Amino acid sequence: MSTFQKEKVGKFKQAVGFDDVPGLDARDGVCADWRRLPEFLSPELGGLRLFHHQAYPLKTGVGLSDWTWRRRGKQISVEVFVCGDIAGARERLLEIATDTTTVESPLVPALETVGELAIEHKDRAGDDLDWIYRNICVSVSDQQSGLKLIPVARRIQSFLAAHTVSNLAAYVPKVARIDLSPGLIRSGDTFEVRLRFAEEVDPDKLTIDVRPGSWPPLEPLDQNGSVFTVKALKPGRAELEIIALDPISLLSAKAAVVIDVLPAP
Amino acid sequence: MQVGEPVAVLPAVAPPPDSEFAAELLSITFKSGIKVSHLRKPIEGPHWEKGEESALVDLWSRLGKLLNLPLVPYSKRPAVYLVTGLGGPYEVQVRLKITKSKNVSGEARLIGSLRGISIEGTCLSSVGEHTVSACIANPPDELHACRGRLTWRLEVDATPISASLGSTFVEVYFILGRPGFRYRNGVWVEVLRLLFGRVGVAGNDPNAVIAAITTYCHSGHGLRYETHKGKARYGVVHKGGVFKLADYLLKMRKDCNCYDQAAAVQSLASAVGVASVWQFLDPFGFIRPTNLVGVGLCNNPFFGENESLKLVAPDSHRRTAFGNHAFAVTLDWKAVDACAKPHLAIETIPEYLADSIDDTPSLYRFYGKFRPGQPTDVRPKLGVVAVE
Repeated sequence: MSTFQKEKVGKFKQAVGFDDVPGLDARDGVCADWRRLPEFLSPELGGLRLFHHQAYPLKTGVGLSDWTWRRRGKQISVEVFVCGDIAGARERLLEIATDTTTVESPLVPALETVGELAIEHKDRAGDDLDWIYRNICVSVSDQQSGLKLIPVARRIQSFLAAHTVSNLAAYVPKVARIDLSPGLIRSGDTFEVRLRFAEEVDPDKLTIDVRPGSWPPLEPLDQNGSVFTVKALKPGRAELEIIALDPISLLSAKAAVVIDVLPAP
Repeated sequence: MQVGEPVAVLPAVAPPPDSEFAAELLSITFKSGIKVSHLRKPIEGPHWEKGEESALVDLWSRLGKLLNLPLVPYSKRPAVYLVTGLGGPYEVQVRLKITKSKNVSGEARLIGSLRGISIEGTCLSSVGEHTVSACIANPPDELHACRGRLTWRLEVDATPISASLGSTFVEVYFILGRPGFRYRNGVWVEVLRLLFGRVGVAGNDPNAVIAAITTYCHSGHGLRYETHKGKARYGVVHKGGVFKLADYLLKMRKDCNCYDQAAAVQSLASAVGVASVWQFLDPFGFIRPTNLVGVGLCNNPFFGENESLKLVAPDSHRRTAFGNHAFAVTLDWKAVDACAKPHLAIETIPEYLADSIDDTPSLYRFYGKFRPGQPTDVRPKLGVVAVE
């Protein structure tokens, strides 16, 4: 992170009291079937129709489910970022607030409280709201729907609260071991990455993937179940993000493997 | 040869009397090794099968209309090959059935043709089912889209006799390189249709192709810079990540930022095999008056809703700056930027920054450590890792 970005993040954290939000060490969290959210939310959507939905792993340890409801040019979008732990959700909120092209974050604490920390644009136009609750970060935005976002946000928050489990870690699928073959990898080589799971985890029920995590990237070429063929493009230290996500709860643990790619002989 | 000069016309050799030759196609499978997806699902061969043609036609009316593409028939099972010179493979597997072969001997030559592209292979001329391992005889050396009816015939030179096999509906693209890991489940045919049908990618110069894509993303797609928060709308962050390409194509949000635009250029260029590297500059600084995407001439990107503030006096206290900026470079390190101007793979990074950043020292005097970005501040980043 550059010194400018550090300064921007620091100012935002201070402005919203980010580090003072309690509960970072809580063990509970949200484990939900996100397919049920649209129906639960429909009373607050004022006749808008579900136009688009997708769910996928955003990065290691974070699943995303998003929905857009639309009617006659009016639109509401909801993004739910499901993290494997509480720190992940906070990291995502920080990213939403500060991974922007402005010099300083224009986001401030929201006037209306939702979840553990809610933020909105400083102009308080009421067309966006982002908040965290345990391992979840939610982003709600409005494009001329004429609806108030707060009731929508509160309804989502009640869904989160209703699906809070006492021991979140027990619901998060984890990769037990990552095997690389061959052990010595040179630039230009293709190699195998094999993900191994504990006996009680059925990998066939998970969305499994590996993705480059640094530049120059390692290039995933092929997948056969939990075995991946990856190509090392350039020498140097490279990271490969590991994804093993439950497609219903979108829970996943953060995991990565760092590989020192040697120069070609 | 001059106009009016006599031309010798050789009469066609007639087939021997009492000879018969007839055949029909059973299936066609394009075997290029490049995965293609249709509506996000990987396409499996065969790409055409007897009796299944009516199910093959993809009218694509809703999505095609949203992308402003001509509503002509497309195929639900398109194929993608590399242009010539990249090692192929150019294999086409054709299953056919020779139904009549009387007084015919020798090898039969299978010929398929569509708009200058020929597919050729050989098989026995005897009655029965044959699997022909044919290949594209003359793959183009530049980007090419072939959509329409591919006509097929079998010729037996030794006899000589030929049989028409009719025509099959196909959609085949020739691209400049493998689409790579961003499209691991297959390059999206919807993207190829947009690129060939609307963006107008052509030729075999990667820089010209990425320039055409950049121009489209800047001036043709219809998004507008997000002038309130500088927030990405399509899933990416400053270093790239997963790009919501489907949302971008459908313009699910009206606005975007430079991360979105860099991701769009990189993802669309990848689809036709044109590589690029994501670059991130932090700090960036005040911008010289430029054509900001969807906004027009602007030197104050965060003017919010107040259009009268998009171009202010250079020393105006209301003038805002870009804290940072993402763009892409070609493999010869030329800048492409669909966020402003646009920049079209002509300038080096220092030239591009000099053209973009207003480094007048007095502008920065109230901003603490914030300063104009330098070429040495530019860092390559991961870029788009996957499209959704």
